[in-house]
Amino acid sequence: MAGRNGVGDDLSRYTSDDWTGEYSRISVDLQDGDEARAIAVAAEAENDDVEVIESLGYITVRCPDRLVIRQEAVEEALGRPWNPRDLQALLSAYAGNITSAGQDGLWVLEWLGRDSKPEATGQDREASV
Amino acid sequence: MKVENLGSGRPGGKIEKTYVWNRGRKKRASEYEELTQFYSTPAVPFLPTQKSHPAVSPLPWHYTATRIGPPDLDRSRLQYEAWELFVDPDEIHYSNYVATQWDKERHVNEAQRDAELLQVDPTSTWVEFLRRFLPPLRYSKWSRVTALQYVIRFVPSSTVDAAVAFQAFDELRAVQRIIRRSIQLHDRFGGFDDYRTNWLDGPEWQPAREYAERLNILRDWGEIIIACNLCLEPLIEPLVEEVGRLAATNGDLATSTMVSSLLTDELRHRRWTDAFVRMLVDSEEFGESNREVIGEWLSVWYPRAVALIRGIGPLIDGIGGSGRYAAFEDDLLGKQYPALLDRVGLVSVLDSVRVQ
Amino acid sequence: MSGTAFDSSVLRGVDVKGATADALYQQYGLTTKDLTWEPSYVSQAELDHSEFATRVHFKDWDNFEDPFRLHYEDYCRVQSEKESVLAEQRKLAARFKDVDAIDIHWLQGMKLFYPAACNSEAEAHRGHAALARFSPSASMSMAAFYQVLDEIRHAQMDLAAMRFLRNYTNAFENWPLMYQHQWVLQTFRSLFEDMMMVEDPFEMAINTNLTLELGYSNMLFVATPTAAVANGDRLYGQHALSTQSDETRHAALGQAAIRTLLEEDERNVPIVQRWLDKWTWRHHRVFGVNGIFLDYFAKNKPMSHRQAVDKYFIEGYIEGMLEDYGPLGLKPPRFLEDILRERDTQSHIVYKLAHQYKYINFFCTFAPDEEDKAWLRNEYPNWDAVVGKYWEAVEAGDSGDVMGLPLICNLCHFPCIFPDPDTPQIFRHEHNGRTYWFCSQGCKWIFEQEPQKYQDDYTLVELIFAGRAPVLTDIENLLQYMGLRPDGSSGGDLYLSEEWRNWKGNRGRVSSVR
Repeated sequence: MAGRNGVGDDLSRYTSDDWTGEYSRISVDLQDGDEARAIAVAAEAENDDVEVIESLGYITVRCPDRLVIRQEAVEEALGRPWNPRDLQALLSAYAGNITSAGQDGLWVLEWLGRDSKPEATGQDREASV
Repeated sequence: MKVENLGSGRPGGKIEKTYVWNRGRKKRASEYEELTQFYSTPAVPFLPTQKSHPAVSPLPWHYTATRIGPPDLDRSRLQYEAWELFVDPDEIHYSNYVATQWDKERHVNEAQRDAELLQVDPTSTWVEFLRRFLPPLRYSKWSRVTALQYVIRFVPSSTVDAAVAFQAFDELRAVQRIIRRSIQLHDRFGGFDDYRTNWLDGPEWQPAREYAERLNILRDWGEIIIACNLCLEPLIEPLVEEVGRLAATNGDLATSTMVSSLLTDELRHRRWTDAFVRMLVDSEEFGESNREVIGEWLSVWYPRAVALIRGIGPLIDGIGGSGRYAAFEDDLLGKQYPALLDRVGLVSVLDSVRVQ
Repeated sequence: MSGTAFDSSVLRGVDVKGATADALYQQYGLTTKDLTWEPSYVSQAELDHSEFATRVHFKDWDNFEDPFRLHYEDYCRVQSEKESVLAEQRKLAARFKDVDAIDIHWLQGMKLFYPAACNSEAEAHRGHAALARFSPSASMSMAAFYQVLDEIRHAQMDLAAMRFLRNYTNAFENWPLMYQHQWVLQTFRSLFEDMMMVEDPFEMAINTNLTLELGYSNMLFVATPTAAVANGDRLYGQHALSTQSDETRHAALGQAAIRTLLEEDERNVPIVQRWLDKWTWRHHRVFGVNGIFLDYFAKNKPMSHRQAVDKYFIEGYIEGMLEDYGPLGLKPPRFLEDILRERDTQSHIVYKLAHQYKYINFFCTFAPDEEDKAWLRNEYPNWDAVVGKYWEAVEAGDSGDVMGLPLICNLCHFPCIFPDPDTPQIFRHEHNGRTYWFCSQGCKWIFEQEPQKYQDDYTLVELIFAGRAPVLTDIENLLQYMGLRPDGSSGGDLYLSEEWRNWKGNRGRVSSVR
């Protein structure tokens, strides 16, 4: 429930002048069901330190810094073709920045602070017009 | 202080299963009415016990001082006693809208895929015509999207707001279908990529471009609806329909299917606009003034719409044979359009729409 | 949902499994940035409608990009699937009488939620229509346009839910009038009208997409549905999670907006900062109401308001936001200290207030029982200090009603009862010969920044004093004015109500009826 270092009772650090923020984990909350579970399996295969937490109606998939979900991995876990855009329909909350929303079959969430650079996401490959 | 809008005052226990303002009405409120009325404007219903029919009392927004720019942008020169009573004859709300439109999109996709599989090339004169006619249309459609977005912001009626919002979304659909079809055609035949130059500089497109630009500087949301739905669409869409017919006879099933699917959207716009205008002119209190205002607007926008179809319309002579456009225009301006005005109670403004 | 939704063979003549989405992405630039042109027949200034001119500075509007890259066809496909799920759920709920499973205590919270949300969503859609029309960024404009439809969806979802639940309760019977006049709902109404009536379209992206949809809405639409389901209400469970699947797209737009604004030009930093300061405070006030769902209406409590604030506001929003945007010049929201200080008291203060004025509510409230109090004391060690005495008196037989009008904040329309109702802070301000009252530094500061916007607003109490609304002693007319039943049966103490007596479904833990 708490952030990386816990939120706790003492909130004074959030308003002290030298606090620059600290990242919580990247996470996605997905409406529960076959698809969500397959996405969780795909996430575990691709990323380190993945946690999956169950709540009533949704699951939270989270990991420290960057979350990548691949279409092929989800399809393998699900046992049928899967349109990566469908993840959007299940996505009820997230922490991080969505830098790829199903382009090239990839979902990517990450923080974009001073030490990280967003991976080049699908540039507009405009058709030959 | 006596308050007009009253609850039924009966002690609790009985579940009424209706809203107070619909009790005592002969006809049950429809699902559409209950999903669309009052959600979007500060208006409250009078009850049938107070009046002979349910009417609504508009209330000011909290922040009446926050008039952005010119005052009262939610006022139009069009007036009506109870805007919330407008009913879309097709009863579109969000749920049936997305379901129906997804069905249509799937149908067009399938038809286009089938047309590809048939591998029948349309005639080269048809392709040449399409190059000039189809791709720039996206800009005309897009200008309707943006003009209607403005209406959504200001129109003081939830039900009109819903009709306008779904129409604006339909226009977006049309923009994207036109783009997709253009890409498809370009990949196959080449030469579909100078649409922007055509739109900006091509003489046949200038009236359309001018219409698009002038439509988007308007500040009266009522004028936007009239200019867009009572002048532009009733003239340009029949032309597009004509092009759809020509597509079919020229072996281009992909385009004809797309056009007829998009036309089902346009016909819905026609139906709600008819009901809207009818409501305005039939108003006891404001009918006469509304007719005057609409007549004034028609006298400005109708000639522009005629110029628009006279710009791009004659292109169809190149594939339909000479005289094709003249016959089309005669029928449209001489018969169809006056019939439309008659249908919505605007015969008296027919004089405003005589154009040489 | 199967993967055979649509087919890039339309475009390429080749059936490519899984690449269907990419075809639409590829067109994205054409369907957004390529659609505008420099006018010849009118001036750009006329097209821009100067009243909606933005103050922000941009070198290149094309630098903004919506990560979702929505497309009409895909939108209709995904959204119609979401709508089917909800429709099916209502159908089955009717067939199997699922409403009987809803705890009647929880239902009181739902009576509050739906009318509050419905018009609020609708007001937001107008603001996004302005953002769509006037944003110079084509991609942002397009994303905002889909959001207009989403918000219509949410408002109509609320209406569909009310149509369903009115088979079991009369609470919604006059919802439009309630939203206009009922005292609790003015807090929502004033917030959403304020949000909608911004002149700078980009402010909409900060006040809604960023602050509300990234910062606060998860408390309402992810935390609260777990409480709903724990108390037998799967309808709200799915309703909220489904709503939120749209909000995630909106939140992404908000993040992209703030990042781009801050990166493009450092002159944007103070503009964005001021917006963040203002809107964080305004949302904090209203979303305290969410706390009463988690801490009070829910008999089974999977999460407390405090935990929801920790998880969704502090961790999920503030921490990440400051790490991401701090290097670009953003500072924590101005009143963050006050916000955090109220974390442990807000829900208790608001619920007590609701119980004090239960006779003019459209939902019932009830005293927490022993089990509730044990949980509350465990979650909030200072609970007794904040509201303990009040509930003791109620338990001893006091109705707990306050039969006098409170001082209401001229900005947020809450009574001035913060941070501690026994010693509330009240801020007085003179402006153009009129005296204004505020519940907090935050509200006062907001007023001072833009007095022309708020100066002509009147609270319910001021309307009553001015004779424009019935007085408290003319209670029947006041109730009618608010859209409630004049006999007082719309609200009151749950355990004294007709509804409690007649309810055939789940009654949670039965308290001793006084």
